[in-house]
Amino acid sequence: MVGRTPEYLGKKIEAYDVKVSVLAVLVLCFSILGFAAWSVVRPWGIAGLNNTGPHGLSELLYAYSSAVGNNGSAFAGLTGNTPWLNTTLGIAMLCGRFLFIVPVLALAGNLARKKLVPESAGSFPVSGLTFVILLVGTVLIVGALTFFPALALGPIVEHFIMVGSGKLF
Amino acid sequence: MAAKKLSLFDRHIIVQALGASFQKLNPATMMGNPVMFVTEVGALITTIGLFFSSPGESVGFGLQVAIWLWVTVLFANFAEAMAEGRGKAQADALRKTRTHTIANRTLASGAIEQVPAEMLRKGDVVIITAGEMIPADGEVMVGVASVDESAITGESAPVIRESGGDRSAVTGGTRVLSDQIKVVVTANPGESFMDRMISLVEGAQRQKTPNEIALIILLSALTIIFLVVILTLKCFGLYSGISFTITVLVALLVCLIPTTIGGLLSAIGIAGIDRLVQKNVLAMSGRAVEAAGDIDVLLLDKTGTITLGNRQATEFIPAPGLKPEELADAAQLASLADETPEGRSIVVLAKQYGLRGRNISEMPQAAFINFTAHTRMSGVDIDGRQIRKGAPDAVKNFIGQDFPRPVVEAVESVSRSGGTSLVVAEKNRVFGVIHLKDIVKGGLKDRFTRFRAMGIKTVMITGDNKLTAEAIAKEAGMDDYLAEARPEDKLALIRKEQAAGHLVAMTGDGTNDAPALAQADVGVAMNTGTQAAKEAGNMVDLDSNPTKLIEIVEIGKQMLITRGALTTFSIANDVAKYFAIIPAMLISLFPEIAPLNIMGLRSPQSAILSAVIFNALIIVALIPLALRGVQFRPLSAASLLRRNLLIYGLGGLIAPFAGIKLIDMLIGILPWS
Repeated sequence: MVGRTPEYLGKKIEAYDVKVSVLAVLVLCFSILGFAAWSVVRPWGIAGLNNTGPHGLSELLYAYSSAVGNNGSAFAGLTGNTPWLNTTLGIAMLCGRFLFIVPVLALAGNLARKKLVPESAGSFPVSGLTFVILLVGTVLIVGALTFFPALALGPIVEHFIMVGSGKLF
Repeated sequence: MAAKKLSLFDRHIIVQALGASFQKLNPATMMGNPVMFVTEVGALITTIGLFFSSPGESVGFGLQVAIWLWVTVLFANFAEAMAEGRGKAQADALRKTRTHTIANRTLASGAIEQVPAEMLRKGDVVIITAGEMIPADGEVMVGVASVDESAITGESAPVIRESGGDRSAVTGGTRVLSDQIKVVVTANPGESFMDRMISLVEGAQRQKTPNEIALIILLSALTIIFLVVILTLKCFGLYSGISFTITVLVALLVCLIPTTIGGLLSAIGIAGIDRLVQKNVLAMSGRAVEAAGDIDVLLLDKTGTITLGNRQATEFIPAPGLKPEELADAAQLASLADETPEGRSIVVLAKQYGLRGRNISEMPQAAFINFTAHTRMSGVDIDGRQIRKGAPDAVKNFIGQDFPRPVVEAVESVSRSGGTSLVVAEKNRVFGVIHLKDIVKGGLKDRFTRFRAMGIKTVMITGDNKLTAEAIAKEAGMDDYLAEARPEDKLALIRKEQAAGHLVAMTGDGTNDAPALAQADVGVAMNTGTQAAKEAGNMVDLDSNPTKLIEIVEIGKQMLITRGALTTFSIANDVAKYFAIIPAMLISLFPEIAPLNIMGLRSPQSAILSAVIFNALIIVALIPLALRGVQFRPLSAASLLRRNLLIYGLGGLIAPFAGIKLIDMLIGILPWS
């Protein structure tokens, strides 16, 4: 948006860099949403749930998000110790760590190889308030865009039901 | 091809583009654009879905969604077709210069045969006489002629083309006005310089530029992410007890994938090349236009680019004991017959000293001495006086004695200020010094200051000595200069800057410029230049105006900004679409979600339809912006980013809320709703 092809910290961002970065984003999106969606449509997938309705969905979404993020925590309402959850949460954790790391390392290697573009008044500024707003905005919007529909059926609708009719699951 | 500005709403182009939008529906063509391909598949699925109506969904709703999805695809195709149509119109104008001409081809035996121009091959030799059209691109082997190149440059003054040197290239389609030249053809039919340009402008041979490819990868990835989002949403819906219909899911998908930028991307690229053509610059590739935006070092030749071609007399510095009028009088006498621009400027300056204008015809007794490279002086012999003006050392030899001290000092001070001095003297008397100055073109200093703000360094290239170069570079407000430059110094400077990570642009016209033109990231060859220079560069300026390099950089930047701005706008749009569609999808099962419908849309179906309609209409609404480009301002990257983020980021966030609400209200007042 500054009249130059994109660059970050003096390195030009080209097709290859974009390719591996989006691959990393896709890994996260696939492993969180993919496993959670698979779980909810199979009886053995929801076997571990102690709560029904939107809260149950929140529990599964949280479990996979946490596993992919290599944290591994889960709601108390979810019995994680079922064969399905043990296996898939484990795989999700592997994806979140190693499948994610491969494209990121490729990105780092490729960027390191590149020539440094000297900074000037025409360079994309990567400090200051504008960049902070841009970065936070992008993270929020792209993140929200990816997870908003799933969250809408889970915690969001749960919240409105709780506020609206005082019903809990 | 005069720089013709096409109206955005040229009827002919619009009608053709409408037709082309339907032809482009061919899936094989659509594959090149993943975002729009997915949209087309979505449109197809909803259309087929009409025949297998799902329970709880009216066919009318499905039909409307399907129609608007097709319209979305058509609008995107229309944007591309509009850009191509405008390119074609430019190309047709270029092609008009091609008329069927008969060429006089000389055979090995020396005989001459007449053949149509299309039959000429590389290496053929043709003879062109005054009044004839030059049949093909070529190089003058023998002779000198004045050529009318207005067909390609729009410039009516004829130019000289001669064998050898830097003015030997002739272009097919231009007319010889005088004399006869023997030309060796340098391009086969269909491969000439102009042919390549035409096909590029038409977009027929358009290859995606590196930045475009990177952006397409990003957009495709977003499309895949949203496909995953939609597929998993179907599953989550099943778990929650809602069976989302295919129509609704496809509508959501198409609203989320970046159709706005996806639909306008190729139009932006074509329009960038098109804008260059309007400035009479032909780019060999879209890549070059993109590179122009990244340029951060501009190499500009002094003569013709920074200064007017000719030096002008600005001051008379008389020798001690003489009045300025006496010097002016002698200078005027010595310059009366001097028809060079410098000579004429001396006569003009002398008039300001209250001298009566003299006329050569009044002085039959005077013998005028012309400048020669050998004497390096010119002047007049009149009434027994021998008045001469010329370079200081030449005049010193002529008078056979050293100049008085103050005159020597005057000569030195003129050189220090970047000027050239001429000494006026007669046999035993020195009148004084004329200060000849390079006149820096108006407005350049401002322009260079703005360039500095954008982070672009300007370097002046000149054959002058260091002192002169420094003074002129300072006057023009340039960052740096390369004095006493030979072509190989130019090449070395480019390599040095590139090694430091800079991208360099330059102009050139001579064969000896060719290596530097090829090495530069953007090399703009002058149309008056040699074939070698034109082949080496990646752009050609038909007007041969080196100052245009500045505009080329601006157009490159403008194209990149347009692309970035519309991408930002497109993605920011999604937020509002979520707030329209998600509550609409859930409200049947969870009425409590109503507060999420912050736009207060009337019904779920109307909400989804409004989002889809907005998504289609925004493409058309932005076609003019894509074709014209966002307004370019020479600002620093930080202020540009702030500005564009505010307009296209925040604007992209807010605009669809208003737009979708408005469409929803309009649907509400339709009689059948």
